[in-house]
Amino acid sequence: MQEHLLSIELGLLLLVVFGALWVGYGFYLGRKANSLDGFMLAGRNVGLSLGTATAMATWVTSNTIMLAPKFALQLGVWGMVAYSTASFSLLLFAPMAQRIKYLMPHGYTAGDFVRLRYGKITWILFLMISMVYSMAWLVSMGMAGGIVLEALSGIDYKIGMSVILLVCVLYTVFGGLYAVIGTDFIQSVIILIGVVAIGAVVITTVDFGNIYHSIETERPALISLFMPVALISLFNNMFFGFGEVFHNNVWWSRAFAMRESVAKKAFGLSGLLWLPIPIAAGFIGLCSIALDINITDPDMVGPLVSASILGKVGAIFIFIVVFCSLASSIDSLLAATSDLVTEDIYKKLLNPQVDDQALRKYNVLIILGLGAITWLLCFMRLSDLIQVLFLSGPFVASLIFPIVCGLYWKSVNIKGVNVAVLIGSAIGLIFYFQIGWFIASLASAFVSFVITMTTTKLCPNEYNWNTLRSN
Amino acid sequence: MLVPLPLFGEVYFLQPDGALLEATEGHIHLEWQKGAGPFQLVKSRNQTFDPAQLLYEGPDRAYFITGLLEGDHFFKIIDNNKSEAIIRVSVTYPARELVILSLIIGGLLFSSLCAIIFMGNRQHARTSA
Repeated sequence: MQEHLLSIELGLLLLVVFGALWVGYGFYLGRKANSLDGFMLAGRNVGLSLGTATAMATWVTSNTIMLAPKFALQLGVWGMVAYSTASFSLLLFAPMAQRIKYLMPHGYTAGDFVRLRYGKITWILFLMISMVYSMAWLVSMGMAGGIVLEALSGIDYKIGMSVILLVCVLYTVFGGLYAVIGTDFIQSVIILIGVVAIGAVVITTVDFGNIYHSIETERPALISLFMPVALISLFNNMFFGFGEVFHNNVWWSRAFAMRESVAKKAFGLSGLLWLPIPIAAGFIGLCSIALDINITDPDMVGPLVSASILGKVGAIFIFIVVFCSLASSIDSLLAATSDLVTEDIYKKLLNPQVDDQALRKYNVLIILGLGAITWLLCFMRLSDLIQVLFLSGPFVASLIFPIVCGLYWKSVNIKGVNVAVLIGSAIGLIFYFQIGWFIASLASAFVSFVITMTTTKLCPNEYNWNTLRSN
Repeated sequence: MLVPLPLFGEVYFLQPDGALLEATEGHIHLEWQKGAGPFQLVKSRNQTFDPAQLLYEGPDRAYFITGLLEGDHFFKIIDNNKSEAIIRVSVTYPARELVILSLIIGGLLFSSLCAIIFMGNRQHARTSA
């Protein structure tokens, strides 16, 4: 049985120090978040460095740090490449962000776009998918926080999970998107330094020839050019990533928050900065074979290898990097999901007459409510909730072409889009259960693509872009 | 293959299906119970374990093996030379045709997506200039 890499006392100290840092800094940044635009969209004035950092940090989740090494260990070199294709989501969202800023200079959420572009039915479908996906992601991050902190330092799951959620809720409530983006900047620097440092030490410590020889002898399929599941998952992962980024309000809210001249460059740079992280993390996972480390829990391969090479220092690095990656994603999810609930559900459906100041207050209450629901679901520690996140792949992938085509083509057939989302999701689910997770998102995206293209070609609509610009 | 029930105190693999496991992704998480250790985990491509490869030696009760080639693999856990248990893992990867089809479809979809976005942005640049 593997012992904890850090003592409980050290783990708690790191948790308290960094937790206090984020809450204090968030409180400081929140002085500017008085108006609705200030609270929800950081005044729509985010510059290049902050924009790049927040996009990169938000996309580095605990999955990137913990799951990427496991992916490489399971699926080999192609698995590493497959995971890194998630950077393409940010790279392709870059030109889309520019288009979004142009079309919707006063927009608040991705839901605004879908409602104005496609109407109520599509909007409701979109909200259902997005809320389930966002909550699943939020809960998976909360649970991951508790699990990882417990595995690394022995801090009780409930305590670790509660502290992480509480810290994120507090500074998001105090500072809105100003706090989220400001803390993301520091967290992204820490993540980059931590992963690069660990990767650099691993490369200089472990002999490449030894790594290759051990994999060739013990796990030959990992370096096979034709590793079937890894090759299938290549495009599946890519399209899961496209679905996540193109539809979710986490990214749309950042696009709205950035200056128009900055949005494209910021997302482009963030994609380039994100790309090496899963490669470095994956490489660390493959080193476990040459280092002869017995991995009893594949989720812990990253921390085990780091600690094996760097000792306690490596374990501390991993602890801090994981805490930063969790915080940078949880705060973004809290802010973006609360924006969606506030703007789309509360204002547009329930209380259209509400003024901005009242809406800002409701936004705070909704963040607190989301935090409470997340905490409760994490407290129950239902492992099925993690499966919900993986199952969301077909649903979010079905939204890719409707959203992209909706941004650039006037002629997209609205009924076709609704059918594309429904049937794409259904087919994706069938593939998930009948063949495997590694092809579900690709199947869904393909079916949605065919239906969207066919219906648009056969029965084109004529949309007026001014509908988006003037709302 | 009939699997005799383990006697009290003897080590055995903790897998729900007994002696045969299937792996479609080339990896499997092996766990074993009972026995006092230290344990030796040995792998072979045939039931006689000739030749065999030592994967692990130590006190742990689990091992995550990945990168297995297609076909049958046999694993034996030995508890300090007192008792042992054997399990067969059958690795069957998805068909080659599915791999090629997914690469072709993925490539087409990716190209289409890039074309829509970049041509759309070029059109946008022209009209907003």
